[in-house]
Amino acid sequence: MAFDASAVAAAGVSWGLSGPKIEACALVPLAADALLPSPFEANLARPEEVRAALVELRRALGNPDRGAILVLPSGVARTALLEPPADADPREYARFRLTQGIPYPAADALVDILPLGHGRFLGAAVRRTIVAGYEEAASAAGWRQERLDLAPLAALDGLLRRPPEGGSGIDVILGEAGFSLAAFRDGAVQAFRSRLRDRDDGEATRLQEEAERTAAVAGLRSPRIRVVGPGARSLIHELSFRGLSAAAGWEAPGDGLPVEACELSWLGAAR
Amino acid sequence: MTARDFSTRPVRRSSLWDRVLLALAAAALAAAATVTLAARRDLAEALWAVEKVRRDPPGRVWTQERQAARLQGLAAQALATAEAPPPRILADLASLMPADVRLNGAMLTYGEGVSVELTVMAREAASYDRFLERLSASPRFSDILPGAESREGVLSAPIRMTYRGGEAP
Repeated sequence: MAFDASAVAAAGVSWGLSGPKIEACALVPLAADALLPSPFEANLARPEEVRAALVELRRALGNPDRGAILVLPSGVARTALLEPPADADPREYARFRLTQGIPYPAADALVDILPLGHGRFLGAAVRRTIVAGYEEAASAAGWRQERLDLAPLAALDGLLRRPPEGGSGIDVILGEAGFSLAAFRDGAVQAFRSRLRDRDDGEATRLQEEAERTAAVAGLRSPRIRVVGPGARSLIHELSFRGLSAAAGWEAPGDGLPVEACELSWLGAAR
Repeated sequence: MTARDFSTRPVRRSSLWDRVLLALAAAALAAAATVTLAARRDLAEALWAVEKVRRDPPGRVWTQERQAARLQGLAAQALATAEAPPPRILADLASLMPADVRLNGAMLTYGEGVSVELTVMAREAASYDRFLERLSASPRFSDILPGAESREGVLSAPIRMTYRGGEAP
């Protein structure tokens, strides 16, 4: 079950060799400014509206009994590509690196990692009070929390299950408040960058420029681009129109889905 | 590695690999417990057997008894030899013989007592009878058992008896 600025959504998902398989999916729009993804301030500006949407979402899926993976949107966490020393615990190393310079006590940071292979990890730190707001809303709506994930890590987790052809490429992970870019070269993640998203006119150009800068950092020329997240299909069309090689990060049979699977970056949270 | 979890109150769930390892560990523990129980049972049986042998060792008792009997026999033989040397026995016999009775042979066997087998010759039967009477009356001889008498000129007869010893008269 995923939160984002414009909607809450949930799906029953399992992963096969060809990508995600979606059993059921529902999406409930949120009123403008009801949920404002931020790394420091309370995200649920109007918690009652968010809770009501979550209740409706549960009802749309038949009030499932099984636990849910809560996925928080892009723009709420600090992330970093890490390569800890061989004798260091990756989680402890991530906490050490990510809590330096944060504008809140380090003890209030919830830190975890995504293993990337080749001794590298994507670490993320999110403020405890931010997470608590989402957890309270979900619990109040009747959702049983199994664990909690972050959309950029969940998306990259899913994309890692089918690495880019030839081992090189750029993955664009879109959220409504922010986006991330991951650069693969020789099968390894060479760079991971996160930015705030500006959806005004010219967004495709700005995203293309960010992708090209990320490719340059990773030493890539004319990389293939994979895109997931809200607005993915539109961006793929735009980049393809410009002669770039762009495709959906994943596909799934679309019958009955409110949106295409590639628009749901959080599907990677499921196993 | 457990699934990442940014929950404020995370519950670290075991992964499939963790569960496999847990199952293997449980199986190893069960096998170890079985082996341990079997070993303890064998140990108990061994201790029981040792205790049984220690308390009731038939072979050892038999051996000890036989050894004790043998030692007792040797001790008795040594004692008898010391107390009843052949010259003394022969001297005691000679003191009981009438004048016309003489000793033709003697065999002394030392055991718990001293078994004496004699062959005597007597010119007259009355002398032989008188010798038997003196033997029977003597406290130093018992279990007098006269053998078959031969009367070819002189009387010859074996006599078996036990020498009991005693202080010299």
